[in-house]
Amino acid sequence: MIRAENLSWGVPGRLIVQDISVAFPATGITAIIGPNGSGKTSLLHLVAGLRPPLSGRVWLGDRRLTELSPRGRARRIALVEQHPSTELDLSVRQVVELGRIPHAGGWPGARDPDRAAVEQAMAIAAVEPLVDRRWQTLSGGERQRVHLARALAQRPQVLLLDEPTNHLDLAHQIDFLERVRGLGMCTVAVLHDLDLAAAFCARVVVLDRGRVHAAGPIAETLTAELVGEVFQVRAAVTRTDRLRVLWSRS
Amino acid sequence: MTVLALTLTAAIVALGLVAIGVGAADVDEATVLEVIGRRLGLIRGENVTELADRIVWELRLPRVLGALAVGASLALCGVILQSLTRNELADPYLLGISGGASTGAVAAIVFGVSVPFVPEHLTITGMAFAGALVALVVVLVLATGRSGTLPPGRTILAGVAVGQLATAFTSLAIMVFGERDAARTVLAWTFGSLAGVRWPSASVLVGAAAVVLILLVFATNTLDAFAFGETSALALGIDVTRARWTLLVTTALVTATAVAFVGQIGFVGLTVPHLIRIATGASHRTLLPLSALAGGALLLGADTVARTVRDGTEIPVGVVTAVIGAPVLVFLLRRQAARS
Repeated sequence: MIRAENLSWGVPGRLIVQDISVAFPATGITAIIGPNGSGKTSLLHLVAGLRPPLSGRVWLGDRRLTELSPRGRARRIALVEQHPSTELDLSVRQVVELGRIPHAGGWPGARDPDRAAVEQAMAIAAVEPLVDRRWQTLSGGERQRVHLARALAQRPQVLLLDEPTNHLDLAHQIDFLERVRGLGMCTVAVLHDLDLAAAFCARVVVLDRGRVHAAGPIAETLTAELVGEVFQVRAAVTRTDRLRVLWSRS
Repeated sequence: MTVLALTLTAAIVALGLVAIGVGAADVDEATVLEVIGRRLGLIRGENVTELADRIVWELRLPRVLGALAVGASLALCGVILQSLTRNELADPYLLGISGGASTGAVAAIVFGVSVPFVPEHLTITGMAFAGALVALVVVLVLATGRSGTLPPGRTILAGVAVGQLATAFTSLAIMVFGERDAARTVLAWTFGSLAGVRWPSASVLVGAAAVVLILLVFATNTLDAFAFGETSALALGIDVTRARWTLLVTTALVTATAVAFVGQIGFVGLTVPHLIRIATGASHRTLLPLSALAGGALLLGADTVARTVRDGTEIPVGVVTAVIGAPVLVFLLRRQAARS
């Protein structure tokens, strides 16, 4: 579905993403894991087309991402950021409606041809009861779901999530990832919690110092040796009722 | 939205009639309407005296229109700057753009800058624009962190520094190189004055405000997309770099036009967008037109007070807007403090 080919990116004097080639399939969640500073968010932003790579390219289907206009790109790829925040006094509906901006015509006040998109997105993300609440009054879990709804209102083919479960309690982490997995769409999620990744993701891309350390189906790729190599943490990866990652102090 | 828009429009019309009527020589409302009706060719108006015609049509009406246009322009600039920098304290005055513009304009006047075949007021506006742009770029460069972020506190500090420097230069240039009545001129440039607005300047100001308002109506979605910051705007398909620079340069141009004719007027751009956001929310579809109306009404009211509160002399209009605006600034600061 979406594919990175020899991507490199960095700031002057330091390459943050080095020669990464990786493909994300059309269905199921792919987890991006790796230590802090390994280039996870940078890779996600490159795949989202938010910044041009220094070299390499991103393919969406059989088209290069750079062939698309910024709006065309935003109609196909949606991103949920790490900590979306605003000082503005917006209602939940207004935040979700931001997702329709890539589809809006140039004329002010033009009718949105797909007015059901906002309602459907809110239903999937279970934010309908919050529709008239103000953004500032929402809890962390609610904010995350509202931004999922905003992303879905874009009607994307690819959903990119940057540490979507940060600051959520365990029940909300599970609920959020179940919801996303239920969408069955091409999803890429940067995750820190290896056990959550093991439980919800079909595939994994492991980054270390800006390079791909390993990539593939999570059941085969995520092993105790890998956790030891990349995170320097002793761990056991077991398969009982599901894939589990258990760690102990190294 | 509609109710507020109609209320503001009605308030502007009523305020306008009163403003044209009051002053050193009072003219009653009926005469005001007669003069305007006669000039527009609606009535024959045989009772209109030459004096009433001069006062209403040549002196006060252009000044009223100028005040409405400048107020609307400054309020719109405030909306753009606050949305783009995600800083509730941003406005052309606090970010030093007005100061830069006045430095450019005053430099053009006292050093007698002239360009062949270009009318004088265009040269002054052009220099004001250059000054505004330089000030804006300096403030953004000073405030931008290594990661490209624009922290609100540092942005305002940079703006105040640039603005104060520009104002100091303006005052110095007028005192040293200016004419005899220098102190008054300094006051007019640093606190604003609409006393010199006649038809030619009023039409430029009204034209500028109208063009900007129309342009901005097409930028409502773009401005909305900045609600969660630049990364989020990028992800929503906004060409952030282009949008940011187009809108910032527009802001500098509009501010420069206003400053070139009426000097620096603070607080309109700061307070009006906040009051409208509190009243009808942050969506730019309503925020932009309502801010333009409210900004116009505010400056018209302030200018009318400025020229009538004391018999015989005018007080600078910026003094009046500061008296209204400073308490609102304090309120905003307290609200921000309470939230953090």
